[in-house]
Amino acid sequence: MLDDLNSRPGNGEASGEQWVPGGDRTGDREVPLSTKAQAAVHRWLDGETPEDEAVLADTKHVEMWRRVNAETSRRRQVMTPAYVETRIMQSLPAGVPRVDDTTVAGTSTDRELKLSPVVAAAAAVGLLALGAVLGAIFAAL
Amino acid sequence: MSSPAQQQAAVDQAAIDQEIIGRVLAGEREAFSTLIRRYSDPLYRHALGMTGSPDVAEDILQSSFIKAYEHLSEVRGRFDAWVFRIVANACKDWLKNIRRTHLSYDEDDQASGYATPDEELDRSELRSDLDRALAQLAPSLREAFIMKHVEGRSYEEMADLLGTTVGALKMRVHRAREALQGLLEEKYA
Repeated sequence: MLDDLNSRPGNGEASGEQWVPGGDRTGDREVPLSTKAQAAVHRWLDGETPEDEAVLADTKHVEMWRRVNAETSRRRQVMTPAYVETRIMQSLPAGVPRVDDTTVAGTSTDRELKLSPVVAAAAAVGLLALGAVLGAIFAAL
Repeated sequence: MSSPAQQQAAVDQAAIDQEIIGRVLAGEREAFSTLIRRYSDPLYRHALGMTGSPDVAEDILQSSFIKAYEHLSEVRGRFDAWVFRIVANACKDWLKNIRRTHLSYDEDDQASGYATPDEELDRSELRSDLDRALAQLAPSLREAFIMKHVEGRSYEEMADLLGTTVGALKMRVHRAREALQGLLEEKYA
């Protein structure tokens, strides 16, 4: 898949990403526009082209990204400390997880409201009575 | 794009996870440790990348798994994607609340693969500079860069986990790279 490496806000951006001027910290800083050399580096870093092509286009930045990649590859090997699993298991609440429909991680909380006909009729009568009382009070004022 | 074999493996994994979830909900509490072992490493790396602090990453991992346990009956679909969103949201909340500007892996005791003291010194310097540069990125750009470069995920996988498009994520990763390049090139390019 080929990138649209020249995509910028107001330049026919088709990704749906909304750009807000100054909306984040990097937005306040000048970020150089993609050049052909930069595009070649992105394609290499995205695994779309071999490194040789990027080297031909932009040797000095390829060298920099090689070093950054070595560091990020090292971080990819980081493991969770062994004691963490035990700590988590010991911190779990007692008992079986509850079964309900409250939210987590952005899920929906829609609850169905169920009323029996008797309760609905009683509620309607109550609301009418309340309305009549409030009406009488306002009329007296 | 993932291959049919990878897709099948993901389907199989999801079925195994659902079976484990069923056991936990039936009262077999210890079965939850299987889910922790299976998914803690990528989640820890994400939290560490986003916060820069091993202590904070551990706390986020712990609170996220507790939340996952408490709401386990609500899992619809893939457990790994669901728990990733809990961790990712916790990281963003932490960044929002703390507004840390300095990231450090100083407590990281991972073995070094560098041969000489000079190389070790260079690496240590790059590590600090990269942390400082990452800390200057907006959370959404940092998240995209960490997922792509540190966690080694494909754009398709990232889009699946974050619920956005491949195009939007490519743009975020490219913007993150360009910002990092601007911050690091004077010294390293």
